Amino acid sequence: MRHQKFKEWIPLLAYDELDEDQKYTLNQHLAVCPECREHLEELKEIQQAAGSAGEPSETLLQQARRELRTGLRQKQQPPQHNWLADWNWSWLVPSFRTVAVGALCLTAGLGVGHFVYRQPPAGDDNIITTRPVTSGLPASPGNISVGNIRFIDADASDGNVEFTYEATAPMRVRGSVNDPLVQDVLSQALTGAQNPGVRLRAVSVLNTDQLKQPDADVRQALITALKMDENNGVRKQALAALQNFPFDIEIRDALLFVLNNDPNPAMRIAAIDAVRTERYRDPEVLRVLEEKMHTDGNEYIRYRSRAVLQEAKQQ
Amino acid sequence: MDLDERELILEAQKGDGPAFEELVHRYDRKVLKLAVSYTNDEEDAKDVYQEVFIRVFRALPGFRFESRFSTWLYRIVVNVCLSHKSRAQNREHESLDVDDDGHEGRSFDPVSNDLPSDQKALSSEISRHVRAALEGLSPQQRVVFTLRHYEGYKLKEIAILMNCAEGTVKKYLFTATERLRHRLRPVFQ
Repeated sequence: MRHQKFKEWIPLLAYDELDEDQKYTLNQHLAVCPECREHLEELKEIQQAAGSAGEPSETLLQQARRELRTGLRQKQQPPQHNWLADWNWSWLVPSFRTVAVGALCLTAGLGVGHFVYRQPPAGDDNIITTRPVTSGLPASPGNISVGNIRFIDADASDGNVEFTYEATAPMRVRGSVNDPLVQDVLSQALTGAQNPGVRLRAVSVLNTDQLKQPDADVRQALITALKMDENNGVRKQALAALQNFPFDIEIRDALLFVLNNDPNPAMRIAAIDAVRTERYRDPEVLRVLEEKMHTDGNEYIRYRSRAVLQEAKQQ
Repeated sequence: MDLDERELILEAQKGDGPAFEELVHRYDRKVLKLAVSYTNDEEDAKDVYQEVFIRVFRALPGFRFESRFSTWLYRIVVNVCLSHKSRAQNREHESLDVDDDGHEGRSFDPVSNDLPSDQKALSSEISRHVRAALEGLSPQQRVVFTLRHYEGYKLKEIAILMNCAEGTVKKYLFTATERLRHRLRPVFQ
């Protein structure tokens, strides 16, 4: 047998993929071939260096599951499957669900109601009855784009058709950050925009001391972003923005959630700094810090938790 | 396939959300483990995980029980891995997914005061070279190496998952180990 064939068998020997006869033949060759012996030794070194695969962490698994839910929701085409309607939504944080549903309804309302159908439609709420027009769609100014048209009745033999479509239009808003419309739109952008740059800009705008009359939805959107956004910058800005709000138990729980679950050590450190202030100190905070002092994988976080606890005891 | 799993699949095919969820939970830990082994990056692994189960979600109504569900699922995993582009590869095309620290949703540790021992440092250095060498393999070579080395699949099983001949898988394993050997030789000398 040729030397090259034995070389091809060496990885198979290393990974126990040769039958007994082949092993015997190859071992006979190895006994007389220093080059192949060296080859096998190198391969064993590589096997050892490559190590073994550990189990993924529970945190990573939970993150993956959470992102899958979001991904499925975004990808789903409603008429084809109705699985997501039956999906166990209790998985989701209730506050996120509220914001998500609210954002969806508000988007539909703003997009279709405010920009397209400026006049209330006559007749059935769900059916837009058109009037004779000379050009263009009656409810379509030039800057509106029409998409996802679905025919309910495409038979024009009686002179009428019926369909649904989605209309979107650009809109320019200028106003105070305390204006409810501005806050609504920014809250939706923070929790609903797919582009992380948009979410980052929205949360940056909300992180201002000019925000005197924050809407409850803004606060909820910030909590949701802090706990669930996949972008570090968005979560960091959301945490900073929440520190401008009056402390309550929900904000405390969000900060402790970050301390317990955020994969980014910088975020966990920021959460410790946020709960460090006097007003945030309560038994639950102390309990979590005590736990983190022993269990966090990051040495600095363990040190920081211990230091904050010591400060608390001294005061 | 046990009856319980068959019923679960049938329910999920009818659009039962909790049944689909149960199916995901039965297999997703293993899928994630494989994805981490293949990509060697947790963010990329989550991308692979998500793509796998979105494909499963879409394709499940067409599953006809002609193979085991696990085989069908891992074939999808292999296909996703083969076509996966890492975030590092995609990064040059992105400009907005950057936070104000210049990071891109990737975990980082700003603390450098827990210095490893010399032994850990050496081990870490070798691991870094191994990771770099693995990234130099073709997707097929990397899939075969990952499935055989890290996940313990036999080459016959890998051939089924990759839908190719066992001889082809042997060639991928041989070329993968040859490339690793040449690339890592200076590290071990």
